[in-house]
Amino acid sequence: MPFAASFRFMLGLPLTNVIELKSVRRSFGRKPDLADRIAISFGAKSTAHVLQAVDGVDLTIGQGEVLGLVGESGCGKSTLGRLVAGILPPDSGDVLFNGEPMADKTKEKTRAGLGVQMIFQDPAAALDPRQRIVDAITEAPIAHELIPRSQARAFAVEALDRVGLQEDSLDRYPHQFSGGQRQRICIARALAVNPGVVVCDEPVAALDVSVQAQILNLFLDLRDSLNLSYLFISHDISVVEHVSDRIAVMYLGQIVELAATADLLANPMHPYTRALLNEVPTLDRPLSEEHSLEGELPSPFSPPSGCRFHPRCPIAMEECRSRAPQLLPLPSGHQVSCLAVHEEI
Amino acid sequence: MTRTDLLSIQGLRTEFSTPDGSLAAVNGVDLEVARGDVLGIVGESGSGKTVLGLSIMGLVDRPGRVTAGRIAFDGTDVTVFSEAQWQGLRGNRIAMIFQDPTTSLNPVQRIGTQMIEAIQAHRDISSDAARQIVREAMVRVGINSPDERLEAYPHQFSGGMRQRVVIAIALLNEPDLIIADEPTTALDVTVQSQILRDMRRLCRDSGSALIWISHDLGVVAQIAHRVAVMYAGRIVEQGATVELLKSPSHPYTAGLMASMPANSPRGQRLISIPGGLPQLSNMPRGCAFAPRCARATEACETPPDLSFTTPGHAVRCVFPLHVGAALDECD
Ligand SMILES: Nc1ncnc2c1ncn2[C@@H]1O[C@H](COP(=O)(O)OP(=O)(O)OP(=O)(O)O)[C@@H](O)[C@H]1O
Ligand SMILES: Nc1ncnc2c1ncn2[C@@H]1O[C@H](COP(=O)(O)OP(=O)(O)OP(=O)(O)O)[C@@H](O)[C@H]1O
Ligand code: SF4
Ligand code: SF4
Ligand SMILES: [Mg+2]
Ligand SMILES: [Mg+2]
Repeated sequence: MPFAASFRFMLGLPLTNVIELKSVRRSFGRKPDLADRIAISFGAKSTAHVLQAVDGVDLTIGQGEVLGLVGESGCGKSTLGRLVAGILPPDSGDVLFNGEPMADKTKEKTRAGLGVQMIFQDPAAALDPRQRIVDAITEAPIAHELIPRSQARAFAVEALDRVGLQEDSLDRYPHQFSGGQRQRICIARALAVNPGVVVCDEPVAALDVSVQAQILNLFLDLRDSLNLSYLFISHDISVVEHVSDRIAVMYLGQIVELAATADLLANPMHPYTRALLNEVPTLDRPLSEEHSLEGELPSPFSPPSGCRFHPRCPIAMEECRSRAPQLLPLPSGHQVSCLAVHEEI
Repeated sequence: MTRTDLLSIQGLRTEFSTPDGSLAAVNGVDLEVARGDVLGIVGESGSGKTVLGLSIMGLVDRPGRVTAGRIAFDGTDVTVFSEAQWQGLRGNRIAMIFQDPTTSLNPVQRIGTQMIEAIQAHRDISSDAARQIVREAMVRVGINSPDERLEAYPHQFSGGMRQRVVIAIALLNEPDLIIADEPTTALDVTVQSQILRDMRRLCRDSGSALIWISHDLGVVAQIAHRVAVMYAGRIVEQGATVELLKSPSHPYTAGLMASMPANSPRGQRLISIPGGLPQLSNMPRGCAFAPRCARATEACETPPDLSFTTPGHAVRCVFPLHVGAALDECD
């Protein structure tokens, strides 16, 4: 049935969650030792040079659902994507795939691990420069015995055809392709192992709008025919709007707003989301002279106290400096993390 | 070439030799860019935009080669430049922001070291002075805590932060010409607007010229004065931004505009141009777009020229679309 998942979603029926994140954290830099952890547990701020990229995220992705993820550059989207894909272990918290803890793919490569695939933001870095395209695409399916080696070429031709590339690509190397062609090779490779969940990190940023449309149609078709789920990270709001059932907005390592797509766009509540939507470039909106966000981007090495957005928030109140808001659902189901919004309701 | 033209390209052709024969990634491009000008380049993935940029920078690698044409930068033909002559120009008077930021950053060198070297390659200043310039450049592209960040290696940055570093490096020496290849694909819209404003200011105030290659038509609409549309190695349409985007004349441009997500209801299949780019080693005889074009007739079997429909608006098509007819033509 087409759009089965979105119907269930619109009717408020529960979706089976394929992905579930519970209080997931991940930092980079020096790992806190025991003394640090004790100090932190007594309320000390984590020491500099430790960067909390993902800071306590709860999230679910339903079967056949497309969850959009947007947010400021550097706020932790790719890190969150890698946690969901199981290629980066969390420091704490749980990442569940079909209710089971995600295997740590950095340690073991299992067939179950193929269930979640990631399309990386940077296709040039994701492909091995010495590997021909046919091998890049068929390596995993052959290793996991999804296809016999004898069918490799025919399989690769079909996989490339789906992303609009021709047979003459098979024996070429990554550097012989344009940026968008490389991105499509990565997409073909991720889809080649029949995943159940695909983490798409800026999957169409390198594509012209017509090829982008073909790829987005492919994603939506696979969702409808195979009930595939997606975590869809993109800076292009019109693309996220088109494909997503729900959209999560991230700021400095945390989810600050989460709602059904139509709801979020018609009725953005968090001041950061509003600023973001305000600057979306369109064909008939000239570039404004003023920045819609005052103040400087905060440093994740020492995030602001209280609400992390307070130094830039146009409606910040005194208590926002000291009290951290929580992501709470409103009666409409729209979740937002803002003291001013919570107070109003 | 008029007196104010900073860059003037005539008949540029860049070919790659492959086992299947030679393919022309850039196949006869003419282009003029004046000081202070912002030219947007859009077009099909694989149509030759990056190779065009690399050709202007003298950076086409074997098995690729510029096989015909002339590229005049500030009045001098640079296609005959020696590598030594290029060194003085590149990164100093002409800079390119590359599409894949990872490929232009050295993975085993700290970000700060790379930026300081980029300055000292062209200016005789102390490391401390260079470091100060670099710190300011980082903050200008919205990267805070520059002291910690300059110590980091590229893989410790997010995709958008790497992209901003590459932008900051390109702007360090305030070049006369900046070629920006998909420079903001990894940036959220608020950071992107900040960078667009910064670039626009640079063009207005210091008269730098900018070639902005992008798939984001909204961004092109905001920054470019003129737009060139590329298809299969050629410019197929060129004109003032507002006019070209409002009433595209070439069927490819019209198809591109119709493919924008805003033109289809949410969650439904998007409109897209049927088919794909022809194999460059096996191009159609006449118009390269013919196999995908709903308007194609026998007349299209002769390669059409780029000709003016109105002053300033040129199109390479036997049956260009008329004003206002654009969107109905494709489905
Ligand atoms: N080293 C190479 N060897 C062979 N062909 C190449 C090489 N580099 C580029 N090409 C081909 O030249 C054509 C133009 O590539 P180019 O990178 O300029 O495209 P583009 O317009 O920038 O596309 P995109 O929007 O996807 O970045 C492509 O078809 C590509 O496959
Ligand atoms: N391997 C790493 N080592 C150290 N720091 C890292 C590492 N990977 C990411 N970070 C840091 O974590 C933060 C979040 O990075 P992430 O790549 O998740 O951001 P993002 O939201 O995807 O940004 P963008 O939109 O620019 O791609 C950044 O401050 C980045 O510098
Ligand atoms: S909690 Fe306060 S500072 Fe944070 S977004 Fe809401 S109003 Fe602004
Ligand atoms: S010349 Fe003919 S085939 Fe080519 S774009 Fe125009 S109408 Fe279409
Ligand atoms: Mg990222
Ligand atoms: Mg390119």
